[in-house]
Amino acid sequence: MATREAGKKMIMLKSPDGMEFEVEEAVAMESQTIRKMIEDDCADTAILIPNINSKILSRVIEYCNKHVPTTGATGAAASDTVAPAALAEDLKIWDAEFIKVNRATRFNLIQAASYLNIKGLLDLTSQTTIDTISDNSLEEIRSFLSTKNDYLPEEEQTIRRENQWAFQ
Amino acid sequence: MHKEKEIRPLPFPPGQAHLADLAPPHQVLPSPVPQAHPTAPAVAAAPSRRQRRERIRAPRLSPPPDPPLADAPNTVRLTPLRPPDTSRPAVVSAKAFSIRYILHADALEPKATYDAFPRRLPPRYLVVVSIDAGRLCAPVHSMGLLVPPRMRIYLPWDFDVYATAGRPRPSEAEEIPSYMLQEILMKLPTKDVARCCCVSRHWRSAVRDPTFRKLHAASPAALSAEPEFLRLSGVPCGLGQIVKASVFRLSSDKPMCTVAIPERYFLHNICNGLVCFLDRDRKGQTPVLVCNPVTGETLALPEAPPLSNMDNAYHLFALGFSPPTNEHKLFRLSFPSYSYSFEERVEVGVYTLGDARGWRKHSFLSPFSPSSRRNNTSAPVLIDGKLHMITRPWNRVHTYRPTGVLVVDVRAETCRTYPLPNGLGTFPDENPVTFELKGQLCFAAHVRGRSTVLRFWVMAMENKELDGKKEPHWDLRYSFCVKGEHRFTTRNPWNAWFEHETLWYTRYDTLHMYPKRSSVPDHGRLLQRCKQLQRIAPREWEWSIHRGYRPTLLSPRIFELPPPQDEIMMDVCS
Repeated sequence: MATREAGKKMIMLKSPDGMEFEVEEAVAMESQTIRKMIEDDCADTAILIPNINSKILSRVIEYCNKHVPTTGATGAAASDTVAPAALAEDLKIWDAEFIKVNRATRFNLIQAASYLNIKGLLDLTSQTTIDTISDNSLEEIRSFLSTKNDYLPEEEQTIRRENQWAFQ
Repeated sequence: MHKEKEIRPLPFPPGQAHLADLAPPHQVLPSPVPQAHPTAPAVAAAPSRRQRRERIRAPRLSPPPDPPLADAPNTVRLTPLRPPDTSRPAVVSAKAFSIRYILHADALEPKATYDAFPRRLPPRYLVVVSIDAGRLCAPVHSMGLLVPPRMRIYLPWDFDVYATAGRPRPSEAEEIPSYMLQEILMKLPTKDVARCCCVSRHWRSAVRDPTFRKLHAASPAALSAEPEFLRLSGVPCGLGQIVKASVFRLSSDKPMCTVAIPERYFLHNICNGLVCFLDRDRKGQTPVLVCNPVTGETLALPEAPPLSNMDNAYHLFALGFSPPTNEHKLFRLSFPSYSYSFEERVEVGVYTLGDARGWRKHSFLSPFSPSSRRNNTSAPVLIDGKLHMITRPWNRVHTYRPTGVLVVDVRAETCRTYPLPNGLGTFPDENPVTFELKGQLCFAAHVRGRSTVLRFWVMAMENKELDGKKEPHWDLRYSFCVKGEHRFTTRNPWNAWFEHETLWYTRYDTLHMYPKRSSVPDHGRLLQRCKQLQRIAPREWEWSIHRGYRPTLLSPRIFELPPPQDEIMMDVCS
């Protein structure tokens, strides 16, 4: 980071449906996948994100913008003036709002976070799934992730019997 | 004239015809689709003799067009490959050889997805394929070896194959990819993961992936669970050679699993999610059985090598797990049954589960004798990658009192002895009980006084600067008054543990319960026995209670040796 021109190098991200997003390099570097591309000099100006549509990509960029560390571009002083605890609290509230989306978007966000390897977003999206799995019944898990129960009734009985200890 | 005749090419050179016969039909023959196209009437109007012959052959030999491709060019549903066992292969025909997709477990994904995450590539169960005109083509082994066009794929467990080229269809996009699902499940405790098997086939196949199971068993989610208790009961069957051993959770009447074990075997120790059965014989060379009660799978580990210089040696086995290296190791400590010297050499055999190199040997000098488990000594206790065992003096003529704790570091394979609490005052022949209490070693023993008191100490490691080594500090946590018969010898088994702020205490076949009022050290204050809660009827042939169980999904089969060659799921079909 130090060797690079501090600040405003811009990166162009392209979604497969033709939209282009210009973001700061530091924001794009939140994604480990893109970071690797940049560090390997695979990306000069534009990076095509193959399987994330523009709607999801814009949300991902929104997330990265919010979560990019302030120390990088604007100097280390910025993080000292704002109390870190309050900042973290703000982010948590913002995150909770951010993840209040419909099922399909949430699912796409998980996919995008995994493909782009954005740790924070991956943790955030998977945490909602984890909470659902640990607190709810099978039916509720299925409806949360819109997974179809493709077992035959007797098959499900057998599998339930095999894992009976987990239901006690 | 003569020259012109020489250079004119022959209509069907013999070499070319030979090549055409060998090549796959679709490369030589034009596809029927362009011929049916209305923009090519000239060809249809005046077909040459060769073209006519080809048109007759073409519909017969070329592959029929795929109807699903017309309406969904990006999505291909492959034939479900779901053999009930690995012996039934699925046959896949090959056409083209560009590697673009990776078939992993249950999803066919673009290779580019994997290029970004090389660590996700599992070493086994991997097929690289390409898609040509919507067909699964040219399976290639993960090592990059190209295999012949027609081949069989042996798949390690049952699953459906969905091939998705390009953008997935919305309905299939709803199905969460298994590697993502596994990443999410990795953070859940074992019980929730086991429950997730029942969500759908896709989820089940994600959970059944052996690589996932091994990683999950070493994950903090599985290892930080509160240790549970197992009750084991055996029923002899047949001619008494085999015992049907049922493993119960203490809270349940229904067994987790029932496994057949040889008659002389007993449950020796528990290592997180694996239970370890051991032969009662003295020689220490019969194989140790490892079982996971969740899956009901068992595996016999390789036998330990015989010891040349010890004829009447005692053996102590212990199965341990080292979290940082994700290794299971079986230790065998071999030592003389008694000695009059201050120190004796203990031979240590170590076998890392799944290691083809077999057993390794160490030895160390010990001031005390490890106690073999033949006389109901407490099982080795595994805490945070360290096995704890009680030691006794070498010279058993004067006293057989416990003298110290032998700590075996599973990762470093080092042994160290620590002293026990000062002024123990236990019964001379008593078997103390050791177990894990909130991540620390708890040592319980009866103390003689005006009335018999059951005391619990907790071992806390302190950084005393004595030779730069850590020294334990024993903390007296609880003491309880025990009424009744005052005989505690190695022949009278007893057991004690805490669960739900309650002390559970067994002697002979009776289970007692005491309320634990507070967690403050309770020196000298005696609690009265509350009541006899429950009596487990000894209608079963034998039962015993074991602690320190943390369920995992780890399959013992993953440690099987030698690795079967046909586990690589491809086999050329002639």
